[in-house]
Amino acid sequence: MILKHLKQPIIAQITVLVGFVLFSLAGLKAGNILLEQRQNYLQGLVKNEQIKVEISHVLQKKLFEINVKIHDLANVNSASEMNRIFRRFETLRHDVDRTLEVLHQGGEWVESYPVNFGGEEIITRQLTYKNYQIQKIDLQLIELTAKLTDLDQIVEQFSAVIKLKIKAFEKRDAQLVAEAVNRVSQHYKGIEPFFVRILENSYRLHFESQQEMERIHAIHAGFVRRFNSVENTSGIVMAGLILLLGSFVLRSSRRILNERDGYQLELVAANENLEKKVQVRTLELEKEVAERKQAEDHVADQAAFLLNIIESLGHPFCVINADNYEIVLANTAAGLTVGKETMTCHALSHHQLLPCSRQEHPCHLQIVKKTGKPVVLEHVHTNSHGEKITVEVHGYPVFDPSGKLIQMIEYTLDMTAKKKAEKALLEAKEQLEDKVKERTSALEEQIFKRKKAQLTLIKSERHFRRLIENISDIITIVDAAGMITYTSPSAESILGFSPSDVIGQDVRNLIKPEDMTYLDMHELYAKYQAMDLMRYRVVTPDGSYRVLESLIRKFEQDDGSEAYILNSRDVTTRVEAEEETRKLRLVIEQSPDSIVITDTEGRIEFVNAAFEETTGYRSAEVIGKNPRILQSGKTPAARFTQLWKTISRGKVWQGEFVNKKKNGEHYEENVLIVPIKNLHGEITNYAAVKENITELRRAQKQAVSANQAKSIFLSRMSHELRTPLNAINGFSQLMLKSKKHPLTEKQRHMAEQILSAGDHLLQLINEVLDLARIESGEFTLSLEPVDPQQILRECLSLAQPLADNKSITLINRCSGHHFPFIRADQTRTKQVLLNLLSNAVKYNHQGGTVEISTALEDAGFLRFAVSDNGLGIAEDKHKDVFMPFTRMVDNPDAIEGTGIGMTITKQLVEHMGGEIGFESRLGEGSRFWFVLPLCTKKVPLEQVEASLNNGAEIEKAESSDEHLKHLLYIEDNPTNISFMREVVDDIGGFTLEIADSGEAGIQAAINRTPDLILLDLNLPGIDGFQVYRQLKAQPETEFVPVVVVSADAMEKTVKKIEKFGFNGYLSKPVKIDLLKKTLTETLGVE
Amino acid sequence: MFCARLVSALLAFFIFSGCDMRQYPYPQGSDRREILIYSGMTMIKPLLEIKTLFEEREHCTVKISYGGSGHLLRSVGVNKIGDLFFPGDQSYVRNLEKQGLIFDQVEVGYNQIAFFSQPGNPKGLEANLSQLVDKSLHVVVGNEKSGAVGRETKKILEKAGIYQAVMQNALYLTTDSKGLVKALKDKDADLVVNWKAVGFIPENRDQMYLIPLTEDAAEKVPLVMSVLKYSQHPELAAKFMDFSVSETGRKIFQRYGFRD
Repeated sequence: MILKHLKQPIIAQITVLVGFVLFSLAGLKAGNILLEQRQNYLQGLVKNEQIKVEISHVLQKKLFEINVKIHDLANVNSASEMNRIFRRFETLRHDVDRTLEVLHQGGEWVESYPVNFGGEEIITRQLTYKNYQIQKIDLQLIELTAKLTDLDQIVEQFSAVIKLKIKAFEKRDAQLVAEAVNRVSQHYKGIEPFFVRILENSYRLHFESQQEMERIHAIHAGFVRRFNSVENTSGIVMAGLILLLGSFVLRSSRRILNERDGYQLELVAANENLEKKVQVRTLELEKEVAERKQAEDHVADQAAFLLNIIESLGHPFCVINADNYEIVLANTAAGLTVGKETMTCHALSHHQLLPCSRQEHPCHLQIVKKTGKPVVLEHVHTNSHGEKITVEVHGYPVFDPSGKLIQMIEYTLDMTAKKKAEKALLEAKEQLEDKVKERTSALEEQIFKRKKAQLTLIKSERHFRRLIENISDIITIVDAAGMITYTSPSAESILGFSPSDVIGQDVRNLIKPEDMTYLDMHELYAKYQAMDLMRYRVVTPDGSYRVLESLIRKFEQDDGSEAYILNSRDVTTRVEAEEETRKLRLVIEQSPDSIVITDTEGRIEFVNAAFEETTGYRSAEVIGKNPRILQSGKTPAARFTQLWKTISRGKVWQGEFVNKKKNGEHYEENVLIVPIKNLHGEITNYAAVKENITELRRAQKQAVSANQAKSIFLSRMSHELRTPLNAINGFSQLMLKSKKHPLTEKQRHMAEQILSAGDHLLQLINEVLDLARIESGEFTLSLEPVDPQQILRECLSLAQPLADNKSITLINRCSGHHFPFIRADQTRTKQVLLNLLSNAVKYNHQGGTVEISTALEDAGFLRFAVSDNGLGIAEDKHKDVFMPFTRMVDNPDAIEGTGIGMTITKQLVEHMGGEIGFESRLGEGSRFWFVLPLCTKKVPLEQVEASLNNGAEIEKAESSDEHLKHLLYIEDNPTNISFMREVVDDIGGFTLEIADSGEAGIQAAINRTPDLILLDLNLPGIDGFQVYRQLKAQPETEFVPVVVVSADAMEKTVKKIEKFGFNGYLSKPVKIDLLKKTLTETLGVE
Repeated sequence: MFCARLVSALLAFFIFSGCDMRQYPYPQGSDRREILIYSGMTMIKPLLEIKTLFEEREHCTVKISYGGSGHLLRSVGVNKIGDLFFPGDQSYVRNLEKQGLIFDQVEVGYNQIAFFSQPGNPKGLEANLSQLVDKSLHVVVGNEKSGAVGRETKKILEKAGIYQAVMQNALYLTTDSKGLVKALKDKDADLVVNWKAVGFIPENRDQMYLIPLTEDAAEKVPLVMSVLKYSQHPELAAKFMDFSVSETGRKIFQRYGFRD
């Protein structure tokens, strides 16, 4: 229908045709854009899948490398090598997790490719992948994720085996090494096939990625083909349609043109008819022109009449052409001379070539032209005599019939006389105003100067007031009678007097009378005016004293009277410090110990009287000299080196010297040297406090000698006692066992008493003999490599019956640990340990606990510790623990003992090159420890083998506990601990150890490596995060899984926990199921 | 009239075709429901047959993650997805059951440990456990930590008191039964300990020699299929389970030696 309407006008048809063509082209273009979008999208998908293939390839590479690292791990022989491999392993694991995450969730992976062999130059490639099928199950990702979790566990277990291997290598023991290598090999047997499975998944992932890429690629290729086909077909169809529509428009246009030719012929005929009508009209117009000329003549007569009237006017009158300012008509009064009829109005009245200026001398003609209305202005014109006259100009517009301004009528009235009178009046007024202004200005200047002077005065006064009010000194003004007229505010802060309290008071009332004998102000001034300071005490309102130093000045007041200014300063602190210094100096000078103060170069600056007395040198003889003048040559040179090394670092040094007096006599002294530092921490001097210990040493030597003599005596006595005692004990036993002569009940009882007393006496004699031997140096030790485990096992088995008698639990914290051999006497070490164990049992409550533990010390020692929760030792008895014949209990008879066991123990440990000590609190228990040196020589293989065999037996014996997983719970809250104990008991399969602080937890984990640590975050001392860091820094606990148990469930804390890499997080109150699940998953147990 | 219709058609094509320009070309059948089965390695052959029949019948997709049962157990724990769990030993199902992750279960057959040697049994090996510690033989066994076959092997060997000795003697440990088959095919092993059903798989028959063990030495282990609580399509999973114990399923499992 639309086309039908458009068929008629040719332009409309062509417009439709063009419109159709444009629309078709636009349509084709739009279609092309959409199809291109689709093509680009598919191309993007192909690239996306290519990236997936690439990432899966990266994943393969990483897994291969992990495989290689595990293989390398199997061959490591040192901890550093293992740690290096672990670090790389962790990096690779992180990379693998990240690639899996990108493959599953989509995201970005940045892969680095080394360009050269050394990897100095690296190209990074950014791979961004989007998973369009995230909702679909991806088997390979699922299996890989799970297998990698398995892998972590396997590696963790494998690492434990590797650590054993490294330890075996460190011990350089062939047997242990072989055993460890065997275990590594056995573990590795399971790892390699497992890795084959992981790699299978990665191959499949790679293959499936490639398949998906090919599928998308095929879709893309098919689309491209279809796209080209559609594009060509639609082009052809559109071209055909355009041609069809074009031919239709052409045919229609031809028909319209034929119709136009017919219309043109009709137009020619109409033109001829029109020419005839024009000739008739011309004749009519000529007649009308003749009539109009006659009317014009009449008008000219009327104009001449008007000109005569204008000429008769007394004032200048002009008619001016509005276009060019030329005077068209003027009367005689205007002064226009003959021959200048074409003169302009401005030439006539102003003798100038241009019209008047608009601003200064406005042109009335221009105003009339602009406004179209009459105007009256004042002008200065030049008259016909050349004089300047003031005129009033009247201008009137003249319009043509169409309303256009063509001329202007101007007539002028002379105003010169009137203007002169006005000007004279104006000048007189201006003169009067100038005089008024001049007078006003003079007055204002005077006022300004006065105000400025006042301001300067106020400012100055304020400045000085502030100065006085803010100085720390007290400024006091006193009149000649001694009355205070002013005091500065500092009096309040220093003395506690407010100015209002003291103004009007006599200044001398405030001063302590005995400090101020000059009561008259004139005398005071006369005494102190020459810059001398008065020092006196002032009684403050609280009754205390402040010491002031004052300067006094006299001045004359405004009224001519004399007054005094007292400028006082509080010197109380300085005076007190001077007093302290005086006291200290007295102490130093009167000290019985020699005191020497030197500069940093060692030059003596001060010595006290005791020094002079001890050395025989006078002070003047040694000042400026070096203390080495006292050297006897008997003090080792290394001691002086050590001394200087210590004190030059700002530390205190203490030691002993053998020095020489002035008279050459030697003496021994104990010296304490302290560096003296200034306020900036710099050492300025050294102070030495020296105690003469010559007599003390002599006394000690005598005491040792006497002690040895006593021991020898006791030894002989004991030996003599043992002989009859053997007979007493032996026959007592024979009497009790005799079947031939059985004893009566009473006799048996008496014989048993004899035997019991004899046994006790024998034990006492044995120990006395032992002590005597040790002290007299008559005993020998067989120092050899000793297995600490063996000592422990034997001692524990001996102590067990004692413990059982009192229902005491013996806990061995060393079970399962292997320690290096120590260098000690096996029998004596057993004696020491057994003594500590038996004491821990003896001095314990019924049902108590005794723990034994061992730990390696940094300095090449092994520490044995025996702890109990028994009676403990009062602090005042600590010093007597190792003294012979002293008992630590209030009722010694209740607990059997000789009182010399600990003395012997100490002697033995020290003779074996070790040290012994203890910590104890009354009522809480004791912890005795001793250290013995590790064996530095290689231990014979047979001995190690024997040790291991024994260990195996013991481990078997303890195997009932071995299958239980060991948990360490680091928690300080008793309620939580109690709850956890119950929960763990309920779950079963675990042993639980408690540590109530972070530090204790770390130590416990090192002593006995747990399978898992449950860690509270809020602990006394170091917090849970610090504990975690320290655990990860220790080789023994580095790989122990740590699960947080905390009441802090803040998002920030949870994120921090995740960031730290804890193995789990349980919020309090702990849900039993969740705890069980965490333990099961983390430890891989059921 | 014709031109007007043509223009309208073109307009409609260009306007509406734009809507699908960025639609992902999912593969055919991707809109089907999917279930994921965790299956022990040994049962994979019969399970694949059942899967094909079930997919046709229910117009769905069945995906199977297979491997060592221990690994599958951990995979369930780690991934927390999946519909059916079908390990080589019912103890793994018990484990998940304790954690409350099992919705329903059914026994579909049994497994039993057996010896396998090279085809034709060239070394004349017998159903005697002590052969496993013979240092002259290359012995390969399953890893108890990763698969049911390893776990069951450990159980049998511990009962005989020779587990540690066998571990010492083993050439290597495989993660699952497939690894044990491969050990024989690659001629790595003279003797492997594997599920008896492995010998029923047609492509294995000529590659190995089955030496059955008595029930005294190796008990029959029930095979249990269970629906996981993580299931996205529990009704479909239950149908699969039912289909596995249907007449069709029974015959398939029987053919592969999992039923008498």
